[in-house]
Amino acid sequence: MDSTHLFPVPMRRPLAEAWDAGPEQFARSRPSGWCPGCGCEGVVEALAKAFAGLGAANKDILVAAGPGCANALPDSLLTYGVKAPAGLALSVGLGAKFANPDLTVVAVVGRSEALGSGCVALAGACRVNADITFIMLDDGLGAKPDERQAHAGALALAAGATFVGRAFSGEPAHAASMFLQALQHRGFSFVHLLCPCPGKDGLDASVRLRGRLRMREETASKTASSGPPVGPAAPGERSTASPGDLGAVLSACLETAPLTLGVLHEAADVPSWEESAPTVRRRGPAVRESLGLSEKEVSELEASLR
Amino acid sequence: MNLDLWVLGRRSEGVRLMGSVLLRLLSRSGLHARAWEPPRSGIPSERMVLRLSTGPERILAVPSGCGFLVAFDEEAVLDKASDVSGVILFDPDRAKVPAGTLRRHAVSVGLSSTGLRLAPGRWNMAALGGLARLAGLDTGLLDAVIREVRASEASESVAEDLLAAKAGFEAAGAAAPLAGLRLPRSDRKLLALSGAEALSLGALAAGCKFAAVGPASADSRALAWLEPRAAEYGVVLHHAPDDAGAVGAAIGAGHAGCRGLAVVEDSAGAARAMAFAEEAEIPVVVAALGGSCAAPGAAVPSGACRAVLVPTGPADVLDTVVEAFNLAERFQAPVFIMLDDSLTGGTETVSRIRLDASIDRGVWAPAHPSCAPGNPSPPYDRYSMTGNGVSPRAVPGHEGLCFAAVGAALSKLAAKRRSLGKGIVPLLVEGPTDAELTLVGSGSACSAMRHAMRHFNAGGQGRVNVLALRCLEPFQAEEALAPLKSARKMLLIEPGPSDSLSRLIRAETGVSIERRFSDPEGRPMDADALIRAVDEALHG
Repeated sequence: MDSTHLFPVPMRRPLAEAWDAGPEQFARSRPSGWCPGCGCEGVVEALAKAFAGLGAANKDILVAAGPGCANALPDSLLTYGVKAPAGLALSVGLGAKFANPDLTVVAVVGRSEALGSGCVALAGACRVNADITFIMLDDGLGAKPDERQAHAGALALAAGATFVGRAFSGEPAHAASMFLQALQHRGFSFVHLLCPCPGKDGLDASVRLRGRLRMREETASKTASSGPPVGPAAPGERSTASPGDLGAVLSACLETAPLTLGVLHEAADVPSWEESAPTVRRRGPAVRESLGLSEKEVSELEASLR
Repeated sequence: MNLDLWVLGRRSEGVRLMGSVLLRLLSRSGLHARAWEPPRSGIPSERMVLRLSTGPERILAVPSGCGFLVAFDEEAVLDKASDVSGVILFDPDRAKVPAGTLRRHAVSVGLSSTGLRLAPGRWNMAALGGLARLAGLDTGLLDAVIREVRASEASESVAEDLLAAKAGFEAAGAAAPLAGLRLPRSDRKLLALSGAEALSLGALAAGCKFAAVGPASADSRALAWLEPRAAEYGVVLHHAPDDAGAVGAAIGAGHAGCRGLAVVEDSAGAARAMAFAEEAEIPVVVAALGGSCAAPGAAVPSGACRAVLVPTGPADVLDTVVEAFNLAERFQAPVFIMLDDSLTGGTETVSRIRLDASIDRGVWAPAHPSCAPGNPSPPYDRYSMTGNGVSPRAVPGHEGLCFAAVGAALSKLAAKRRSLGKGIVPLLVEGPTDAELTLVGSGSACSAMRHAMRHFNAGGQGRVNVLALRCLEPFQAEEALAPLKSARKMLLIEPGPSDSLSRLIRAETGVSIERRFSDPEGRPMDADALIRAVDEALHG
């Protein structure tokens, strides 16, 4: 039997045929192992809502998670997952996307990885603008005593990310909306998710953080708060950056008080990797290619070497 | 009669192009050839050397001697002229051959750029024409090869090339009788294949549809043949920002169900990614370039379940790449292919290559029958224990088989390692079994070992045999022990100074090989020096 065509990867279920799935179809109900009050629970909830909102099938979603608390995410989601070691989650996600552009790929890593061992991969992914959503779980607004505060959004923006947003795990509804917008963006989307760690910063870390947050007007009006209110958008108090004004967006990314939540930057007119890669444009997803060479190709190749 | 040629010049002067044309011309003339150029930085003004040997018999090693020299400039003349035993081709406008430099019987042939009215940058083509005349090669064939190799250039540029080659051919006519060389042509159908081309061709033959290269220039050069053809053959080519990223991306492609290849120079930097692929049972092939990586001891830590293959020559690189992809998917494990500089920088003529490879994708889980959108979690255990350690595989997109790639139990990996070892031919023994001396080696050294065996066994003598190790991980100690223990004397041939192969053999088999021969710089084995070393070992 010709094994060349065995086990082809099925086509993606079109979003137009979105099945009537709720968030519960994407999240497992088993214990996760995270600390009580951990923001990662909110991440699962928000991601599940976003997947449901996207209308994607479980089989067409891949979540690649880095080490640390993010590592338990694939266990909590009913999608394909990868629990990658330090520095590899985004590269693995990229490779999967390159091989099968039909997949919805999400990479979730902690701040240490995004700004450390995974930083090179992050810059590379921004550059190629592959249609991937990258979520950086920022567990501390306080950098370590011997570190300066890093501005991850500014880093992604400078590297060429075509979507930069910020959300808060304590606001899963808003975070879900942010994730959904990031997933729907055609190109590389970077979401800076503020996700306080109760284990390190105490159970009141989320409450303390809330006081420093301000919602962008347009997103604030779309989402409902599920806890003590995040500060409303107030003229003069928050960034007035509009998408496309990179200087103002950069300022918004660099602000620390208040921290603006919402879509900080979106360049919708930049072709994604999938839209511009010659192989994909010419031949379609690599994963659906027949393997091996045809007789004609063999003859041509041999002739070219003689 | 063989021709041993050195070409010295700068990269920007078209040294490499000259080599490409010459190799194709020789193979079309039915002549065997072997060429080598050292790793390059990619800087246009970089000095480079091309060494080429050609003759009617298969060339197994590049000799150190210099019969012909093509000297692009004064520096090249000063470097090498005194070693030349035959002819120096040089440009009198750029270099002088100092009186008294030449050895007895050696002659110098000047091809003046201005005298021949060459277009700028065409001296390489004039030298090709001159060389063809001196070696008795067909000028019509030379024209045809130049047209093919330069097919992508503007027609005016190709015309200038042809004019320059013709001018060089005619100008060298007077010196032809002095050169005293006429290579015998034949109707044999040969083709010239470099290790780097073989890597790309092997990937195509194996159905690799994703290739990632690291940032080092060597990584990119290794797939230089494939790059302009990638879209045509449906291969996605990714330039990763670092080697770990290249391996990570290839792992991602493998996880998605695509045959993924990573080409890296820093195999140690990619080791963590390989360990992850090993534990998560994701098939991936990594070609580790550079150095004298004859054994993984120094550069690649051994793991729980991976294969490390070492091809012996360009044609073997092609077959090994196909084998590596089949092993990777059959055993759901990472496979390293170690390519030393002599392999990636070397080209040889071969009579045939095999591109119609059979493809083995291993065992896959069937789509779950109960799987439906509303029931996305059927009982599928990606890492279920099986007798051979290989469990059915699923990839994203397969309905109802969602799982998280986490890591298999060590006991499962151990079972798979045993199965993997049985699936690989670990070594090759060539030559008489009762030889006086056994040459032991791996990688590009094997070709030089065969050269020495041919030399010492000429006339029906069975003095030398060869033990070529082609799989270094999992090392099959039992298979290796029999020929090692039955050897009367042994000489270990290592391409570099690391001593890693010697240590690996000692660690795995307990056999210590005292006599060693290596090139400390990791260059191709000097055929003459190797013959002397083998001779000493036979008499020692």
